[in-house]
This record gives sequence, structure tokens and C-alpha cells, in this order.
Amino acid sequence: MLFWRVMDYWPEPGVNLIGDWYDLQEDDVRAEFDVALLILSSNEDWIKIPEFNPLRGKNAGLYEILIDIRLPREKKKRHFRPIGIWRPDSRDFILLLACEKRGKNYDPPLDKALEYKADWEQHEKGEIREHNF
Amino acid sequence: MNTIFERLWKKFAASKRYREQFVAAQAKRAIAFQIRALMKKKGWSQEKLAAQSKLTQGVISRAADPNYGNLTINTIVKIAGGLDVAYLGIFVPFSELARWFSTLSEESVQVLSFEEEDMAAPCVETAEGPDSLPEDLSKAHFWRPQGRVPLPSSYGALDQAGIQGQILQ
Repeated sequence: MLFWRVMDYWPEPGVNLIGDWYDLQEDDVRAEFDVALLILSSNEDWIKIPEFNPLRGKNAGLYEILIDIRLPREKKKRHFRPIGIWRPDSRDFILLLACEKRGKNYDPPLDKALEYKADWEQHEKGEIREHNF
Repeated sequence: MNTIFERLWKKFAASKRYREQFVAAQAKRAIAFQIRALMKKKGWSQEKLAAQSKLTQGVISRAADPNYGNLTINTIVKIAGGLDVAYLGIFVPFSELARWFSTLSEESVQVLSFEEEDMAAPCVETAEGPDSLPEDLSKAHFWRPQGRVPLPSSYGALDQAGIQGQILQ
């Protein structure tokens, strides 16, 4: 029933960056990530919704999903930012990797996401597979 | 391929902590999603909903932001009032939660306002006629006249049961 398909980028066989990141997270983050993606995928229009943001400047062409959560035993909210390529024409979103934003900095840096984007779009490197919620 | 229901159920079964946090995330994000979907369908701005709900635009903006997370029941009820819809905050089994996600769409969270619903569907008829209510509503027959505005999809079960236009006891 989802309006949009969410895909994972696999840079090479056996390497699912989003899946590997997900497996390392605690249940709180996994649950928030799953709910955020399921609800986002049910939105018909992703333009100007608060949990989805186009990146600008040298990162133009990348999009981030905003997931802010307060984890137990932590005073401040954590800001997770799954990064990907939004393709309205094919009505899908390709997850490249998941970052955490601290201040203005992304960890891992967005350069890595730009690299994967170029690999996929220009060099036909890697593959995409449907995200397994 | 597994369905969303099956995949969620597997995760629910694997961890109680995951289940708890899934409920928390859904409670926070679903209300924002539904508020936005209802505003979109009505063509309402945040300012319009704020005025109808007797809240500020800032409160509506935060209510429509799934990452805000501090929405109070009081605010939700005021927004329900602004939309003239009911708010059913009740505990449900996990199967219902997983099913909710399995059919989730902007359309699936649409609800009619009271006025729209009153025009379209169940009104109450008693032995004395449709305009007088008995003291005990449980004794009333719920009745929907034929030839009026079609029922919304949420009433599909009634239509499937083949009872359209008939008296329900």
C-alpha cells in the first residue's frame, strides 16, 4: 500500500550500507527509523514536509530524512539523517547511507554519499534492492 | 515476499523494547501525518486550522512535525475540535497496529467531519420516527436512508454485509 518505494543502495555484492547501519543500532533507533520510513512512504508528496529535506550547495541532489529522537540515559536529542536520492518520476527513494548530524557536521561525511550517488548514477556501479522494513 | 504485517510482526516478536519504541514513534508520527493529510484534503492552511482549533499557527506547525514529539492530549483534542472529528485514543493489540501500517495511506486516514458524516450516513431512528431520540440510545435503530451521499470507504464493511439502506439493530 506504500505510495513510494524505498530502495537500499548496495555498492558491491553483499554490502548493504543501510542494512549494516540498522543492525548496529539499538531498538529505539530501529523502531523510530522503521516508523519514520513507513509513514514517509505513505505521504503522496514529499515536498515541503518537515521530515524530508533537500540538501543544497555542493550536496545538491542528495536528500535527507530527519529523525530526531531522545534516547534513554541521554539528555539531548540525537539527529539521525538517512541520506538518499529522491526520484519522483519512478516514485522511489534510494537510501545511500545513514548519517548522524552533530551541529552542522554529518557523520559519516556527505562526501561519501555523493561518491555513492556518482557511482550509481554515472558509473553504474552497485545495485539497488527494495528496502526490507 | 513478506508483507509489511509479517515483517513488522517478526520484529515485534523479537524484542519488547522494539515494540515499546515502535508504539512511541507511531504515536508521535502518525498524528502529524494525519493532521497534514486532513488539512491537505480540506485545502486548509496551518493558519486556518489554528483559527478553527483556537490554537496558534505555531502549535499547529509543531503538531504537524513528526519530530516534535511533545504534543499533549489537550492539543490533540483541540485540533479534533477544529476539524470537527472525534479522537479515539485507546489501547489496541499489536496486530491492529501492524494492520494499520499495512493499509496506511493519506486516503486511509481521512475522516469525515461531523457535519459531512451527518449528511452522509448514520442518523438515528426510533419507533417514533427519525427526529426523536429515545432516552436510552442503545435501544435505537441505526438507519441510513437510501439515495443519499455514498458512504465513505470506512463504512465498507456495512456495504459488504449487504445491509445498505436497511435498519441495523
